[in-house]
Order: sequence, then C-alpha cells, then structure tokens
Amino acid sequence: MGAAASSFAFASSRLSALLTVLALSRTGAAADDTFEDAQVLGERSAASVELVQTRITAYDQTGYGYQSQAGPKAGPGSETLHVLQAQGEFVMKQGDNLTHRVWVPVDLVTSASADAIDRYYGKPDVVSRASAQNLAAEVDYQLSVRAGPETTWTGTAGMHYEENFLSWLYSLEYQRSLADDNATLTLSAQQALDWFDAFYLGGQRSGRTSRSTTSFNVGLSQLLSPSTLVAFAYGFTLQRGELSNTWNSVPTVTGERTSEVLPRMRDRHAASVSLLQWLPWEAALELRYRYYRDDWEVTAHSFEGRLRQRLFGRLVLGASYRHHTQTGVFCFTTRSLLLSSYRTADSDLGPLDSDSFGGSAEVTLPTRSYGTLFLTFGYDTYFRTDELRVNIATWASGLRF
Amino acid sequence: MLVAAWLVRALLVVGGLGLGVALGGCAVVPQNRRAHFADPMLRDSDDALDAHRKRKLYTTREAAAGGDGKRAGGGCSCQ
Repeated sequence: MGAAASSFAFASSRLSALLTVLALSRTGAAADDTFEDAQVLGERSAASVELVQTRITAYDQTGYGYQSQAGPKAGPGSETLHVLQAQGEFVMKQGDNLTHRVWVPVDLVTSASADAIDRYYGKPDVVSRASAQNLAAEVDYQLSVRAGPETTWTGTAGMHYEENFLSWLYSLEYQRSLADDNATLTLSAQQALDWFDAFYLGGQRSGRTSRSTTSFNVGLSQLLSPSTLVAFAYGFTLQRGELSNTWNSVPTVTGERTSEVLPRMRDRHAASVSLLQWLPWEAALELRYRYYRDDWEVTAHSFEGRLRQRLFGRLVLGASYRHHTQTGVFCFTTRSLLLSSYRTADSDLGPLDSDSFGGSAEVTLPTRSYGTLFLTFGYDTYFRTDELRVNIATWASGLRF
Repeated sequence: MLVAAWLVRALLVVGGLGLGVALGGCAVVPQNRRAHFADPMLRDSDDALDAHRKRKLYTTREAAAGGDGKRAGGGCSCQ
C-alpha cells in the first residue's frame, strides 16, 4: 500500500512536471505567435479636437425684381433683405482613422415673401411685410473613415429647418490618392429631399409639396510641380418635384399678376478647372473657370481669381475677383401671357452678368496649450447688371489644434 | 427618349470616371518637395464655413449652381 502510494505520488509529480513544461511552452508560444488587439487594429489613441470655429456673416441686399410684389403691380418690386448668418464647426479626430465633424449654420433673414403664412398673420401677405423675419437652421454630421493608406470614405447626414420648410440631406464621398499622392480622385453623391408648404399668390397655404435634388460629382486634382496644382471637377444634378418656391409672382400683359410656373424637372451640368500656384514671395494665386449648362436653356461662364499674401509671418491678406455671366431660363419674362404654360419673372433666373470684389485679412497666433488661434475678417461686394447689389461682411475666429 | 438621354449621360459620367482612374495620376513631385502644399494658404479648398457663405451668395442669386462637389439646389427654400 505504501509502495503503491509512493509510486502514485511519483507518477503525479511527473505528470505535474510535464503539464508545467507544456504550460510554459504554450505560454512561450503565445508570446511568439499571437498578437495584441492594438497590434492588429492599430494603437487606439484618445480622441483629439482638431478644429473649433465660429463665423458670422452679414448680407445687406438691395435691388428690384419682377417676381417681388413689394412694389408697383406691374413691377418691379423690392428685393431688399438682410441676412445674419451664424455658423459653428467642430472637428474631432478619433484614433488614426476616424474624423467627426459637426456643422451648424443658422440664418436669420428678413424677407418679403417667406413669412407670407396665414398661420402667423391675420392677413396673408406676400406683398407688404418686407421686414418680416425668417429663421433657418441646419445641423450636419459628417464622419470620415480612412479605410486604407490611400482611401477615405465620408458620409454626411443633415437636416434643414425653416418655418414652412424641412429638408433631409445625405451624401457619400469616396476619395482615393493616386500616384504616390500626386493626384486625388474624388467621387461623391448627394441627395436632398425638401418638404414644404405651397402657397397661392395671395399668401394662403394650398398644401404641402416636395422636391428632390440628386447630385453626382467627380473631381481629380494633380500636382504639376512643387508649387502648382491643377484640379478638374464635374457635377451632374437632377431635380424633380416643385421647383418654384410657389410665392414668386409674374406680371402679366394685362397689368395683373399671376403665379410662377416652372417645369417639374431640371437636369444641370457644371464643369470647372482650377489652378493653384505658389508664388516665391510668400503668396498664393488661385484661378478658376466654370462652365454650366442645364435643360432650362441656361448657359453660364464664371471666372474667379484670388491672391493671398503673407506678411510678417502671421498676417495673410487676400483679394479676390469673380465675374459671372448667364443666359436666362427659357420661360423668363417680365410680361407674361396668361396662356403661357411655364413662366417666371425671378430676377435670379434671368439673363445677367455679375461681378464681385472681395478682401480679407487673417491673423494666426500660436498659444501655449490651446493650438493656434485665428481671427479672420472679410468684406465682399457683389453687383449685377440688373441693379441688384449685396454687401457682405464676415468674421471668423477659432482654434486649430 | 428620356431613358436614352439618361443612358447617354450615365455613359459619359462612367466614361469620365474610367478615364480618370485609367490615367491614375502622374507622379511628378516627390514627397519631400511638397512643403508648399502643407501651407494653409495653398490648400486646394476653402475653409468650409467661408466656402458655405460664398456658395450661398452665388447659388441663391444666380441660376447656375453645381460642379463643386456639393448639391446644386435643394435643401433651402431660397433655391
């Protein structure tokens, strides 16, 4: 019994030693052959804020258009309005591959027409309340995912609200670097769905209506030299649904006014080429040409140039000029026949040339622990051949980390 | 007729995309010679908020929006 017990004890100790050796060898193998999560997925660094900024822009517009009823019955009526636009942007990076962006623009608009809603006013009015206010707000969330060293996917979802108007906005973008980052190909699609109140000419609500806007865009940028970049872009947009805002009016040959009527489909094409050039005296020049054509017979050409100059290391001064020329839509008129199936007197849809001049100044100030503080001020003036004029002042401030 | 026009447009877009991919870009500037492109003054796109206020100015006062990677119209009662 004692010998058997001794033999069992010996066998047990041998088995124990064998298991220990196996366990140790297994541990060693684990150290050699397996990987930690971080080795597979990459180091997961903490989220970091990249950018926080706000921008306030004030638009001061004067002019006259035949679609406005704020004037003589035969037109033109006033297009005077003021807009105060506040925007906020927050960009955060999560690890190496995720970037979140939240953008909130809010527009406070005085307008002759948007407040023509019988819900709020005893007398519906599209005509006389030119100083009524309209508040528009939007929230956009954007997520960029770096799917590989050369590939980034970006998705955006947003919602826009005005007092008689709701929109849902979605977009998806694919970006790929080519030729050792010398070129970048970008493909994107956007969808906007608008759901809004329709009005009779007197301002009474006639019900709800909708509009769909689908855009496809392709862009290719290419480095030409250590100081030159050229970029091409093309966009195709399909619009379906109610394409009028429904409260625009059209003067008639009889001296009365009637409603604007527009086709329920519009296909739009736009292509552009731009050149970005570094100049040896700490300056940058950007030139851009854009061609546009749609099936409402609008053809447009836009030329734009911008020069930026750095001074004293921290100050960047900018100057810009833009010229735009367009033909009017096929149904533009300032004296419509009542029998016309399509008609508009909207001055934005008529034949016109426009010019804009702008200037800006930006100061950057590095801080000890809060990134770089930047302050920007800009002023633009925009005027058209139909006498519409807009003065724009904008200022922004924020932190880049 | 409408379907045919759509097909032609779709083919043009797909053809353009194929051409872009086939070209694959040209590698003419090595990585260590791109210092200027790291300068914010030479970025190929505007600051997003500045771009938005410019786009709003032009797209709501002219009849020719689009081609800039954003939707051309919609999303606002002023378009």
